Amino acid sequence: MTKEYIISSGLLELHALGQTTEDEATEVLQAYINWPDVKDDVHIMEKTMEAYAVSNGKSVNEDLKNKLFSVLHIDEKKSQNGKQFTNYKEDNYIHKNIPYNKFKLIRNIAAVLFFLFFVSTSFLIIYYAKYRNELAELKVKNQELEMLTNESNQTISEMKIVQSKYSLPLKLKPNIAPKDADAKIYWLTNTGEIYIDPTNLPDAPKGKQYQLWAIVDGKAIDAGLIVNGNDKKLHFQQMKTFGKAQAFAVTLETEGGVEASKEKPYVIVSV
Amino acid sequence: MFLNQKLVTCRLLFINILHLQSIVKYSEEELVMLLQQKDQSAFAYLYDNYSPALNSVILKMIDDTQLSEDILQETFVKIWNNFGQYDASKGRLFTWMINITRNLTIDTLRSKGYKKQQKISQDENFVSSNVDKNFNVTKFDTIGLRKQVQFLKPDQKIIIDLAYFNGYTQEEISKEMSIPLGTVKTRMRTAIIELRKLLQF
Repeated sequence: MTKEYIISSGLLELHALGQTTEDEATEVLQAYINWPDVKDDVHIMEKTMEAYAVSNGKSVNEDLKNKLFSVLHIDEKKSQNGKQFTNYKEDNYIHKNIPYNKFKLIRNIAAVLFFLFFVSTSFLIIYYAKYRNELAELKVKNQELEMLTNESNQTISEMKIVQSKYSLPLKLKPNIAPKDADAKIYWLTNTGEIYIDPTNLPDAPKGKQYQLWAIVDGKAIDAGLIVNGNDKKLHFQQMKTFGKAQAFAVTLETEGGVEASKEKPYVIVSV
Repeated sequence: MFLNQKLVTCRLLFINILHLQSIVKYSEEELVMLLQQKDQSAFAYLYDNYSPALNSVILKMIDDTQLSEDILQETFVKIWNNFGQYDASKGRLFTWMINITRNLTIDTLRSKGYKKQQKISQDENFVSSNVDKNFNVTKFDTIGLRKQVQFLKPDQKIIIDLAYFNGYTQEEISKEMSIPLGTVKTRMRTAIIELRKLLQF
């Protein structure tokens, strides 16, 4: 059996019309296995003939349906309520009228809508909580970024001070301070501004604070307090401005500073 | 295939939960699945949608409304009781139903009771056989797709109607119309192709 033979034999058309004998039908079914497109072709032919038959339909006496369903013991209303047919005997089913069916339909639609509302609200709550956490995390990240930006800006301005052609760097060496302690002063000779880098000074004890002094004409003049705290100590601090000075010294004073120091210089440098 | 079956089951479950049986349009696959489960609403759907088409098949062969109703009823009883015998892999549901209808009608035509009744009827009224031998193409109702179908050529339509509605074999059509068997086959194929075009399948 070839495909050409089965197509030209007229068997496919006969099968679509439901006219094949048992042997012919077997032949067609074998063709379905061999050539699946033949099956599709016959399927469309069957659909065509079905539509043709439906288009030629003749109306049926309405009583016939009741008679038929009565013979088969089928209750259409019962079936419309979705109850499955299990045996052919009539049971004590109470007929549900159409308004009741409509009520059930509305009730079930409402139940589905409520379920969908419940599910969507639950999702909203879950996602809202999730996004709220993410927002808080973002705020923290934003703050960190802001701090880094400030840090970076501060470093840039410190670099400008160091790199300025008017900058006079002075290293204050230990006097009574430990050997590895020191402080650096950057004195801008054009403006008289003084910046101190206290990074290498030991932390001031509790209740104490470092104070910078400028020695001008043999007198110690207050040049400002050095702010405590690691985050402050890590950066340059601007002190009072001096047009001239012969030396600079840092003393360890009571917190808040003093007008005239009685302490020995902690670190000192001559200009 | 399995996934498709699951989707069909889900859709049917949804229809059942919402009680949409009276307004829903079932696919053939869904209808078969429900009828296999002896679902009454599916059977009502089947009756509502296909009884006019099957009725026209019977009326094409028997011009007796009362008898045709009896055959139609018997057809649906057989469909309901023997649905387990339907094999979807062999053909569409409607092809199976129209076969049952044709066979029951032919059995009735061949029955002794019917022949006797026909003889009485002929003696009383001097009318010819109730079996439509004139193949009158204007006999069918004009409904729905009929508008498209009317463009089918008469020689093609006669062959289709004889085979599909009257259950004639190709050999019988050849004899009835006095045309070669090869021509019957060719015309039948052409007619179905033409019909397919008209119905836009």
